Amino acid sequence: MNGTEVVAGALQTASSEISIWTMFWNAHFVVKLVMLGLLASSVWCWSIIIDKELLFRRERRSMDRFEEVFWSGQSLEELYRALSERPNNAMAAVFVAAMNEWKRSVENSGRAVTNLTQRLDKVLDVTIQREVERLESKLLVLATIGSASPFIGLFGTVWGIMNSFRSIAASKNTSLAVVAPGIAEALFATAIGLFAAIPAVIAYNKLQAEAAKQQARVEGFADEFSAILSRQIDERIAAE
Amino acid sequence: MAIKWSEPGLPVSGAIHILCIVATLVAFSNPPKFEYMSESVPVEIINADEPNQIAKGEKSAKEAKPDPKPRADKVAAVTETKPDSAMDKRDVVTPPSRPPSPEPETKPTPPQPPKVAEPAKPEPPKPQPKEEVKDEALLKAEKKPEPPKPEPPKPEPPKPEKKPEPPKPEQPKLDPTQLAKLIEQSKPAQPKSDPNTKPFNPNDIKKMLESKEKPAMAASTGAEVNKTASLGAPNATGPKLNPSQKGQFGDAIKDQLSQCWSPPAGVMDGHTLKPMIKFNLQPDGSVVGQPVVMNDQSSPAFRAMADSAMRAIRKCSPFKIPAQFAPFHNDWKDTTVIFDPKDILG
Repeated sequence: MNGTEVVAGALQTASSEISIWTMFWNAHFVVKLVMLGLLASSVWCWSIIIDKELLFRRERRSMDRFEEVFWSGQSLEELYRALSERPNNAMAAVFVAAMNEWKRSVENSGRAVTNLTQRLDKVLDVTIQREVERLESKLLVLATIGSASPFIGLFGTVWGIMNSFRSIAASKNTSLAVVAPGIAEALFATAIGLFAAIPAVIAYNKLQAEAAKQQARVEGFADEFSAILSRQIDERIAAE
Repeated sequence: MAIKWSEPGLPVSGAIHILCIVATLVAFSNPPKFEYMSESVPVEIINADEPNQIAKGEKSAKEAKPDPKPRADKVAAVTETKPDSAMDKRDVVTPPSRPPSPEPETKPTPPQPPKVAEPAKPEPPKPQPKEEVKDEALLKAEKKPEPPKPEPPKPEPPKPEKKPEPPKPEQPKLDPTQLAKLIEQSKPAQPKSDPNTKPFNPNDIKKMLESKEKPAMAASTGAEVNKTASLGAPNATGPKLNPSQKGQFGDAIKDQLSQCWSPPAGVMDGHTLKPMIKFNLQPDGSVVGQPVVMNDQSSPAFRAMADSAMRAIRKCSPFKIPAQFAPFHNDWKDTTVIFDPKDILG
């Protein structure tokens, strides 16, 4: 009778050992570290996803509004005065940068018109570069998490399984009830790794595509605007 | 750290993760247990009696004969007695009246007496025909008795020397009618001794003992010569207890169990609590293996009852098997007892 009690007790502890928390708590130190790291990276990854999604949405809306105003025939001076303080999107930033250069060249001296087109192109390029960088910042983090965290999880799993096999060798007991908790713990690390990696990969692809689309839009606007400005410059040179 | 409302990613993501972890902890707190399922293995149940009941057959035989006998090339010198015939030798109150078993080994018993008688019978007539033949100086030349006998040439030399002397006084009275009668007498005896049964000759014994030759043929022997084997027996049966013996046996077991069994207090009244327990008995009456509850129920009262019954069986373990049941071990080695308090405890 005593023997059956002992067996029943062992089964009880074995079955209670399977909850997620005890699974984490009984894991090896390295596996625990891996799990925590993966969890943190998952938190970071999601915070980036949320921020970027909101940023792109805001950007898109304000670009729409800007384009509407820009092509409505409103005076560029007025628009510049409204936006020069704080350009709220990439397109506006490009516009403001170009207008700054224009004003400095034309209004102050009126002499520096000759190479203005080249200077404007440079300024536009630099501004576009800066704005695209702003849009794409942190997307590399997503890419890294997406590609690395499965391996990190796998590392945790291999480490955990290695440990549980060492315990098996030490205890000389291979019954499944003894082996299972250790392997479940180890696999938990891979599960967390995949949990972090899958959204990261999907979001990276989506946000990268979005950023490319916006970059193309800004570049298109910049080309059109520089065409308008160069026409103005040519008219001025012809007038003088 | 002030929250920037343009970038609410970190707090929102943190909150989502905490929610996720809590949900997982709740959802996975009790992993579903597998239902205990044992793998199904196709099993064909063969009663251990069956192989025993099949008379010695031969796989190469063409058909199953209605009256199967083992193949025998010559008659066995010694007939074996089967264990079941041991029953017949004992003094038993009610001898089992069994239908004559078709097994071949039981048959030899009836033919045996004639066999013993046969060698005895031909003996007395033997000297007479022989002496007559010799003494009449081959006048009558009754050679008929001689040729059928395989052995005559050998015994002949010693016989004329010994035997002629005592019968000689009778000889003068010899008349043809008597001779004919004697010949007639000797004749019926000879057909009886068929070519396969040797007539008894005491001189042969010595010869056989002295001879160091190996037997020319290691033939299978049996009570009767049977040149064709049969493929098993269509309706052979092993030794079985008849119903009344079965009852006696069950009573004997229950009698012993009544002294070992103490059913749990408080469940005596249960009419439905009659654990039926099957256990295996060795020939010496000891229980081998684990007793099995045949009508298992999950109620605690029944479990207690069944446990007490199991304990009783183990306590009684070397059961005393009455001697008359010993030959039927095949039939009672799997014994099932219904533990009915009314029945066992009276």
